[in-house]
Amino acid sequence: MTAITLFGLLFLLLVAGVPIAVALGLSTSVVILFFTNEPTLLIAQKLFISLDKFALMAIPLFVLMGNFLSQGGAAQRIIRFARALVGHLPGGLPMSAIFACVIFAAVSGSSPATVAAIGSIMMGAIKEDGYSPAFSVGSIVSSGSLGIIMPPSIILIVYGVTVDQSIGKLFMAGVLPAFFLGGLLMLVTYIAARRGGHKRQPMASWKEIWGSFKDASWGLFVIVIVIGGIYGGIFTPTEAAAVSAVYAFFATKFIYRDLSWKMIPQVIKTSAATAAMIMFIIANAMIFAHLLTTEQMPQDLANWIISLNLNMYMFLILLNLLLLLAGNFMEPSSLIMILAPLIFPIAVQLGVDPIHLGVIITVNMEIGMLTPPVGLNLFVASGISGLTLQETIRASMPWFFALLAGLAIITYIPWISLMIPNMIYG
Amino acid sequence: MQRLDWTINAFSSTVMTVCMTVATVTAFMNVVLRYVFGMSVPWAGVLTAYLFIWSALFGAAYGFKIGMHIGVTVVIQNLPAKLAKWMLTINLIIMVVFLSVLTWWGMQFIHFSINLQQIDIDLRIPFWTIYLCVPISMGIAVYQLLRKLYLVLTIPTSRFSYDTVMKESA
Repeated sequence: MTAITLFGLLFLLLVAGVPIAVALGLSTSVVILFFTNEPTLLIAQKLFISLDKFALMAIPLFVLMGNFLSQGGAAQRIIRFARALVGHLPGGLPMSAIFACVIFAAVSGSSPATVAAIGSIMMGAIKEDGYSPAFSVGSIVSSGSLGIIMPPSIILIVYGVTVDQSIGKLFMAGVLPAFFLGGLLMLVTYIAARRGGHKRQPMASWKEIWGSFKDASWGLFVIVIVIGGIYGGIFTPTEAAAVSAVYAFFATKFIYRDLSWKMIPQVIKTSAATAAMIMFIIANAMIFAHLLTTEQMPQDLANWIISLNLNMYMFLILLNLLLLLAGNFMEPSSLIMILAPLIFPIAVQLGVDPIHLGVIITVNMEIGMLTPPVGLNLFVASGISGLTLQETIRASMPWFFALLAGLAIITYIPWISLMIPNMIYG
Repeated sequence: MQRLDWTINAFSSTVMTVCMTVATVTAFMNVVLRYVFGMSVPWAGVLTAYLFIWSALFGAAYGFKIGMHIGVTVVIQNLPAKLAKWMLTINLIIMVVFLSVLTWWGMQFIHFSINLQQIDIDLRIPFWTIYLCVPISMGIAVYQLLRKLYLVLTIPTSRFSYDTVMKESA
């Protein structure tokens, strides 16, 4: 009865268009008030206490880092470097765009920001080079989605905090899948471009490769701080975030000189607002998760699923289907906060590695960003390119299917996700 | 009334931005002190967390003004204007009631903390002063939502859309 009221109310509020954070807090409060003996004061207290975790502080810091580096110059320099490296291959320009997206994902930590930054520069260039607009839009929309699996990833932090797993491990687990998916997307581009018979770009000289690398390296250095710092056991993710946020400010302000003093408060304000939006959902989702646990709903659900005698592989298929479907309607971090506490105990009982589960969920969310009605990347891309939403969706189809294939492979070969974390953490 | 509105908006966005800035600098300084100078500053971590929470809660309140809180708006965005207006009105009333109750619970929570007389060991200030952000920010959220409610009730249906009411520029 409690479960039906809770989920029924939540569903109703969500469909009515009440913001996710409020819908979570409200439905939980109603259930606590009428079905349990817990003091209501606890809800106000939880609003504060559930945010009081050092790991969570990485979120505002990474948002700030990404916003500083998205102020212009870094994206352009990364693109130049990517073009110098892979621009001469068939499909060179869209390939460089994908490569630039993979790198920029590691620098910005956000999918829509990646699509916006790389897309606004590359879409025009790809079109000028004789590719169809579909080609340029499709490749960038799909590769921009790598932003949420490549560390630093806010989605992985949210997952780690929700189910109490090491964020350092999760970040390391995201690296190889991100490159693997990036490689798949480039492969599709390569094949499509060869078939289309597009003209090829001349190969860049070593001097150009080195020069573009040197120029981009100030931006690329945050990758060293974040991935290197965590990999080497020097920083916790939050410490890495603090260092890279301040570093991003210095690089953008004093080295690239893309930031006037007047713009700085605006960048901080925008970042604070974005972070606040995520943190407010987290605060409310934690109250929701707390109720789920005290009412033992995840256990009940787990017992029921186990009684169906599903094996791990069947479960993973169902999980992927559920997440792909749900990902069509809700933004990734909120979806993870609602579903992860329910899925986690079942998956662990069936023998799925908790870190691998985080990667599977995140890749599903990534694909969800390419599907309507809540595909954030689609909106950003159609905004930049001027294509309609339908055209943008059709354009991204080949890459979308490549990502689906990648998801299947990542789901059933845990090694791809677990190789690096196992190497570091043993 | 306009002055009050300006003051509330300026207050919440300033708290949000300043806390974000100070927290970032504190977190960074803490890393530098620890790794470069080998000093451990126990209060820095606590202060960082509290500042980010203040930034987040006041930001959340301010977010109701600029319509930043995401939701599943497919349905309400595609309803005929008249129906959407009704639905938004009901949504806003529900939200105002809930957040008012939450503000009240927040005040009870403060009252409870004052009675406990607990003090944060690292920062040497009473806990209730840190918790003050809960009722204040939620109170501001109620104000912002009441404004939206007024807006949706006074706007002519011909000019109504979900975004014009919910999203005001900063």
